[in-house]
Amino acid sequence: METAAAIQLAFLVLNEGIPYIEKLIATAKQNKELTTEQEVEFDTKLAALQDPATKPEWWKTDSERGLI
Amino acid sequence: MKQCKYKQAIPLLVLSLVVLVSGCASILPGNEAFVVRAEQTQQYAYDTFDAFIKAERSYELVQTDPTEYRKSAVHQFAEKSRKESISWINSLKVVIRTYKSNRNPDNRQAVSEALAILKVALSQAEVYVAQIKTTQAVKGTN
Repeated sequence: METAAAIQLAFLVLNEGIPYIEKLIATAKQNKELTTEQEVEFDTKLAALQDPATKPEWWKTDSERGLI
Repeated sequence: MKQCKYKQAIPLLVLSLVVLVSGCASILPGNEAFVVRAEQTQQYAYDTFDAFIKAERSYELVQTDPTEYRKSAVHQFAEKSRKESISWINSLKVVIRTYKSNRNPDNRQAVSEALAILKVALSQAEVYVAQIKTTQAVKGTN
C-alpha cells in the first residue's frame, strides 16, 4: 500500500510531466553557486507569486478567491 | 492494465534518475558545497510548494462538499503555504546571500537554521501530498 501511495505521489508531484522532471534534474545538476544573474532570475520568480497580476490561480488564497 | 503498471513505474524510474544525477553532481572548484546545497534546497522548495499547492487545488475541485473540505488540515496547510512559503524561501535566500558576502560562522549558522525551518515545512507538504493522493485512490477520483 505504501508503495502504491508512493507511485501515486510521484504521479501527482510529476503532474507537470517532462518540464517538472527537467526542473528537478537541473536543480540536482547544479554544481556551482548561483551567479548574480541567476539570483535576480530567482527573485523574479518569487516576486511573480506575490503579485496578484502574475500569481497563478492555484496560488490564490481563499480570501483572494472571495470565498471567505 | 499492464500498460497502466508500466506507466506507474516511469515516475519512480525518473525520480531514481534524479537522485542518481544529484548524487553524482560534483561541486566545481571555487564554489562551496554548503552554499550550492542550500541554493539547491531553495529551488527544490520553490518547485515542491508549487507542486503541492497545485495538487491541493486540483483535489479541492473534485470535492463533493468544498466548504467542509476547506476546514480540513490539508487545506489549512495549503492555505498557510500559499501565504507563507514564499517568505520561508525568501528567508533562506536572504541568509544565503548574506553568507556569500561574508562567510563567517554566525552567517553559516543562520543558513543552517533557515534550512531546518524550510525542511520541516517541506516534509509536511510531502506528507499531505501523499494523503491527498491516497484519499483520491480510495475514492476512485484522480
